[in-house]
Amino acid sequence: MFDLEKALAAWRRQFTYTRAVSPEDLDEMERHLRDQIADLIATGETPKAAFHEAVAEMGGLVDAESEFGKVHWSKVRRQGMVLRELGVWQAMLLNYVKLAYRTLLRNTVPSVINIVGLSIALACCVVVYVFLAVWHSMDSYHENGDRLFLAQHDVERNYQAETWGRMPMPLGPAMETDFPQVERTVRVNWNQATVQHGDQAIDETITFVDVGFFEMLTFPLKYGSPEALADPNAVILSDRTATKYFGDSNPVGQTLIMTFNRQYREAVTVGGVTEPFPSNNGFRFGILMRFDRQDDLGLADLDDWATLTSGLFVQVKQPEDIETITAQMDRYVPVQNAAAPDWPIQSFAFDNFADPAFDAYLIQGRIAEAAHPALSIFFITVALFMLVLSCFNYINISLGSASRRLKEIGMRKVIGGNKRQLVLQFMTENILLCLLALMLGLLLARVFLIPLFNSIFIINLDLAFAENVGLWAFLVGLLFFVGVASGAYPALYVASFQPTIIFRGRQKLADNAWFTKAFLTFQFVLAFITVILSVVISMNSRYLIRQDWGYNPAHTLVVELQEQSQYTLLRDALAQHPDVVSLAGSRQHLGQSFELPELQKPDGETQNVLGYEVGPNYLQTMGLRLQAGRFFDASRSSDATASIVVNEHFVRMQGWAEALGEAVQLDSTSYTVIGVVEDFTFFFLARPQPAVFFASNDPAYTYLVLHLRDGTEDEVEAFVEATWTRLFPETVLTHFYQETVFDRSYQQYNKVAGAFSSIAALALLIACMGLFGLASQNIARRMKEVSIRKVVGATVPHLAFVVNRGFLGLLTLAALIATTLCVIGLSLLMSIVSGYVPLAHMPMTPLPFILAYTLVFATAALAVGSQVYKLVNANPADVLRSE
Amino acid sequence: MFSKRLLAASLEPLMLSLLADGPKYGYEIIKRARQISNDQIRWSNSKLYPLLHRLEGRDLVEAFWQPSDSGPDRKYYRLTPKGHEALAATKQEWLSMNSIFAQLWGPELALG
Repeated sequence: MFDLEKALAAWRRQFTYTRAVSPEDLDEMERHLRDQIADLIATGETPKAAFHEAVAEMGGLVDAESEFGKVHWSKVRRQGMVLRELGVWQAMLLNYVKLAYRTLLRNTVPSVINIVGLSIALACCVVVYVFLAVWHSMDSYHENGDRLFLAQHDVERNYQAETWGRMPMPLGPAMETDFPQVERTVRVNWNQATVQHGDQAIDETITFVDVGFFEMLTFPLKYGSPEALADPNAVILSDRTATKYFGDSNPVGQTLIMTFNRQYREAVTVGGVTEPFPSNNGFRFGILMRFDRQDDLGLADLDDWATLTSGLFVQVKQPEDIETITAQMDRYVPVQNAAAPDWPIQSFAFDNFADPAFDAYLIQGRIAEAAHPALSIFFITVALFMLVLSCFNYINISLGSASRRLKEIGMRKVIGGNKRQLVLQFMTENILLCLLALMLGLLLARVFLIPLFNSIFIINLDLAFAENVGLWAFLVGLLFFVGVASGAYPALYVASFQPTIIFRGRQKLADNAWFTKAFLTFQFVLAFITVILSVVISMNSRYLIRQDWGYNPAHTLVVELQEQSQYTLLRDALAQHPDVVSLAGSRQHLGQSFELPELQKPDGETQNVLGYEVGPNYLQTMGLRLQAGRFFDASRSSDATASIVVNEHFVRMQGWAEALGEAVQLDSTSYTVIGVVEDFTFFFLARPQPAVFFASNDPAYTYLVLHLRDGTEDEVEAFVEATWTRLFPETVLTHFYQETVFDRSYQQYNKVAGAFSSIAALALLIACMGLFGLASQNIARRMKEVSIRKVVGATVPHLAFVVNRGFLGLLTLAALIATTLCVIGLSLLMSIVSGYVPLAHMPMTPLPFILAYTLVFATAALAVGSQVYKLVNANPADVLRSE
Repeated sequence: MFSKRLLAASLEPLMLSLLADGPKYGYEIIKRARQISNDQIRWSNSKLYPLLHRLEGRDLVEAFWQPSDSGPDRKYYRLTPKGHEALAATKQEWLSMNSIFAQLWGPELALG
């Protein structure tokens, strides 16, 4: 029996989940049906036929939905149903999140790998963002920023136009007098000094600035007052420098002793300490001192138009004044040109300090760091590259693990989930995963990448979330970009499966496209290259330290002298000691310093060679090995004026068969070669260069070297210390053993090597993740084939080989490409560059390559191993039953 | 039968005119339209209600529920003052269009 009420209720139910039709609309439509049915019954229809006709006329659900959908949202808004609507969304999202959580738990390994892989790339992106944000807002924080300008000038040197940031000494004060628009100028000049406090003496750069410095630039003080800068006997320290000398205590009123040019000693008091610099500070200083002190310290002639100071800040009254001033700057050109004909300035210009021109990095000797676009491009490329790489791997891993969810997808489709809902579900899962990856990435950036970055590029980056709208916007944008880029393809692909095919067990995952394989090969080429290079670099560093330096650095103590008078006094005192085998002085010292005299070649060209002015007995004391001729002889007066000792490289460069007695022109003076020594390491990582030793009998040496009897080092060192304290109680002794002369560079090098190893590890990790993704897809696809092989008796090693044969081929190809590139690259490097080449020292051997291959193949095997393990443990009966 | 395009163009003026002589509910509107056009205008429900909702959204029409003696409440629609204005405007439009046709085809075809 047909029940109209039941039929109507059933009709209503089909709209329950269609939110486009509100309950009110439904009431209205139901009333409509009832009216029509009543009319139809009145014309003689049966209730059943009337019902069906009325419903048919009402139009199908699909029609209604799309038509109602058009007006749905405006009604939602009008009728205050936004909350209800949001409630529905919330419930749906919660459901998706719950599903995502369960899936995550169920697929632990691929999920973890996905999250870790993505987090590495995200961490890189975050660091690059933070870096670029700082890099492109350099010095923008100064309060007077819009009225602050840095002076620059154009000059033509060697037929090339150059722009320099150095300025004639008297220009600043001249501008203050000549232009009413100029509020103040501040000159900046750098000078070296040895700064002494307590028992430490450190070489520092002193920044001399005019007194208006703190009114002009925004550098708040932590201790003391900016007025201290006006005090000729006071200095103001940066936070970092203050910490170096005084720790965390307030140093105002403390004394520092500064020695300029090894002769002018000056005791100064600390008048103030700045707050730590913001990370986007491009103008750095350690110790500030009043500019005109340079005059009485004998460091610079402040009235000389030919002397250039390091930089000049100009603060104008109105930002637009700078154009008027620039137009009138030509008046200073003749004054400067007359004073310095060898540096004829063509024109002066100004660039806003807080918002520098795009090409400010081209200005030579600019006193503040300026953003170089190449660096930005490099980092953006690296970050994008990492992102693409990991998104790609991510897609592969997702597709691999989707095969386990085929039944779930089928079920959801059968019980009424449409494609849109499935895609939405997968995307939600994906964004959730990306969110986890982002959080892990932030952690990674904070504890690992940013400190690494800060130590490599001397910069002070910080991951600051408070009030950093830009960073937040970037993170949200990044999350959605990565979520969609990595999730869209798998979601669309998986959601388009037909349930009937899934349940029949016939769903096949598509074979990998050629570009997926090419991409994996490419990743492994990168991994191979970085691993090979990092192995080469770290083997090289060990090789370098063991290499013969060309002289004997053992048992040699070097004392750095601070004043010209010290040598004679110290020599006389130390020569008394019975364990001092020999002792000598020099102006330059092996491994520490050199000068660059100009060698006049026969063809008219000139070339700079390494020069060392050494005192009597220096070459013997240092243990340089004589190859031909003789060392200097203090008793021959001609040695000091016209004789030189050269190294083998010099002889080779000149092409002499017999060097002794040859004459050369160095710095316009003629010298005769009297001896040849073996090549020596003059600087860390440097290849031998042509070098010349001059005899110098003037005892104004800067180094004193002592060769000690073996095993007496401690005793003699104590004696040297005691003697120094007795002779020069007011200064601090600086000394080191020659064996440690490269230690600092060596540590620096090892730091770089370490950084390179981490890059290699990252590259390898990412490549292996890619491999893992493909391997898991591969196994999922071939489970049946493998099961049949198992049933008919294949052994596990054989199976592992069969399944991974393709990857083995890929890896081998990658290894071949990488080896070729590395061999070509390294040989090219060796042949082109002869100076500082960290890679080109060790003779090329297959050892680093073999080590690298072993490492990469082992890691790859590990990545594939988990899949092989799955394969071993799978019961063929379970797999084949579904067929 | 009318062409689809003419039907589409006349949909809104017809609806406003049908509601001009008093509130009506959806089914009543369809019935009245069929009756007045000798079955030539047969709106489907899925056309009618969205149109009513659109007009409601533009404040030309307002809806209210009213009890009925023959079953559950009915939802009635009536013109708002703005709806009356719109009707007057559209009527003016159609009349001038009609007068153009009248000049072209002869006065006997005019609406009077």
